[in-house]
Amino acid sequence: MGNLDLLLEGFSNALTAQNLLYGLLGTFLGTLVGVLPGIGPALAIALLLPVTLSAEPTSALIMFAAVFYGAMYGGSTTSILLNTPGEAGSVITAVEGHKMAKNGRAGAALTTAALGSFVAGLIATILLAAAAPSLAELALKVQPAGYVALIVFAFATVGTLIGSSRVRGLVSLSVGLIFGLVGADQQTGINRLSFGIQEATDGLEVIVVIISFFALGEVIYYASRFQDKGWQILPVKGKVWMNREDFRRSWKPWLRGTAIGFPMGIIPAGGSEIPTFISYSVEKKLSKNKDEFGNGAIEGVAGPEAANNANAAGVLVPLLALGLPTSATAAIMLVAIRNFNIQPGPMLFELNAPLVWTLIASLFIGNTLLLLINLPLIRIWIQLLQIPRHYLYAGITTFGLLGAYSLNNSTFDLRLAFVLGFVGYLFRRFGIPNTPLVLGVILGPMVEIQFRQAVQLSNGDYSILVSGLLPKVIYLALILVLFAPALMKLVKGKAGQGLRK
Amino acid sequence: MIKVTRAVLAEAIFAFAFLLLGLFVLYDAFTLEEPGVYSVVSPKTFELIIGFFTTFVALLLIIQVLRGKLGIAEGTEAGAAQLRPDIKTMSIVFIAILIHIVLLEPAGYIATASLTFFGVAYAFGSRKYLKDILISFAFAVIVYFVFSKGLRIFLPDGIFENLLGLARKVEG
Repeated sequence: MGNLDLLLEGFSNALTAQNLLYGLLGTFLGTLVGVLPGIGPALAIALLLPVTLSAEPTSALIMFAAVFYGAMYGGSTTSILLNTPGEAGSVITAVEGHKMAKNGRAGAALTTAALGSFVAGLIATILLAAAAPSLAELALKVQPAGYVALIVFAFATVGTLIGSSRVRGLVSLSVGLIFGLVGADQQTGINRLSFGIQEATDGLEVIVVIISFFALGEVIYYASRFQDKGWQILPVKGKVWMNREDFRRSWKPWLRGTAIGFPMGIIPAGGSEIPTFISYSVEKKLSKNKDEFGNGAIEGVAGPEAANNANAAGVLVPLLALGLPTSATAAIMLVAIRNFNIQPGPMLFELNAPLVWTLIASLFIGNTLLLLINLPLIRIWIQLLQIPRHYLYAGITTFGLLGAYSLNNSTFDLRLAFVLGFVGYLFRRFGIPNTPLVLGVILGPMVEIQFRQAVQLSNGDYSILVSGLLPKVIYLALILVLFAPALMKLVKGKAGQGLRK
Repeated sequence: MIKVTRAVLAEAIFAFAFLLLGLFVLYDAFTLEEPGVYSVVSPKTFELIIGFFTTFVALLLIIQVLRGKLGIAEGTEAGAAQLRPDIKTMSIVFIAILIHIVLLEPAGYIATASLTFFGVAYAFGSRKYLKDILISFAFAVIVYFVFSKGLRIFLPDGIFENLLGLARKVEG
């Protein structure tokens, strides 16, 4: 059966009344939670994970796809109206979008963001459907040493490229790796770092870690800064829809943003910041209205929003084909999929083909539902921003604790959440990013398995880790990525000195 | 050397605690019991790698702090990040979370979630007690109803669940 047939079958699996209902619920909840200030897509999905615990896999996956797109869309709304980007990828949207809102053009900004996200999501999902199966086929040939190299590459790029300080990214990564160590070793059953606590021998629940850091840590941080002024909501005046001129200026940035965002999502190098920044500077260079940039240029919203969404869909390619998540959101999707005893990776397309294609079909459906539901409802979602801060934080805390408890019905997870929530506060306070931590917790145990398999294959010869074409290429690329900026600076500096002489 | 301010001290303590964490992982690795089964790569190997990596990063962080490069919380200006934390508000939030841990199983979901919701709202300055109590209770009841009845996810029953006749029937 060809992939197209499989995809059509996926659609027929996904398009039942019950599943569509789950899709609608997911879109609704995803937008609802994503639009709340301070909640990015990663946290939105983590908070909504318990909702899917009782659903069957297909319905749950559809709901996740819908939540995923809904939360992304909700995030751009808060960026534009409140200037509080919930995740790194929306930072640029906040820059131009918030300026547009200040000029009374909030409606156009929200619409170009929504339409741009839809176009990007649509194209990116088509590309995903085309790329993931072939990548999975290639990935079957990847040896354990190759996996180790890929994961190390992801660690290094996510650890050093996200946030303002490399050292702080690495701090986050190492804490994540340590969390991943806790519990009984998968191969020998030896307990590491479990302090003789019975519950800890099963390892730390990833979702609890995420909820603690993203939700509780954030609330405690805001509590510590209680004296600060709140945010100011900008009103959406006049027409919500874009005019012809807006449309003419938006469609090219949407397509360019997609072209930039998607490929950068496929490479196992984390961060949605970079594609959005590139898209922004490309649009600025190509625009005829350069002086508008920085004062609310619609291209500066359309391009980066499309890049952000396409990037998020691109990240699903290595997630599905290699089992490698490279963003916090993808990491949570991985946990969610694993909850159904399905292991993403090269074998997925062979073992669970119907399910994967249902997921891909769900992404199409979720994306479309989002457009159909949310464009007419923009004004209602905006009302949500009016929720007083004290109820917002009360709700986030209570809901986060519910999520932590309901995974295993254990108060151990609640105690863990309390402690980790405090650590999350410290991270926030000292400017340490969360994403490397999430990847450390999830990829740490994976890299250990691959590392062991590699060394076992070679009977204890560690040089296998750098032998073969793939590992060599990846480590070379890694050295280039890490040291190229410094080298460039050095060369430029020397050239500059030469000129001055 | 830089001037030792409160902010520098706070961050130095954080960096030092992080160093201790790295050293502790190393200690744990070195005192790990030997596995009964033979494996080419012992569980010690990976823990050692992570322990050394953490210790190395911790030293880098300490150097950064000593050179005056302090962390800046995302979304804040450089100076604002180093303001004194509001201990009172934080403490109330902590208490609200602790209530959840202690009371959830004995008192049931609705009572506990109401208290936590109310506590956090109080911490963030809400003083309309009657309204807050009503909203907290409504929030807890709706969440309980949707999760326990709608999605069939287990939540502990207690006083209010029995009063409202929502509790699971004990069979037998």
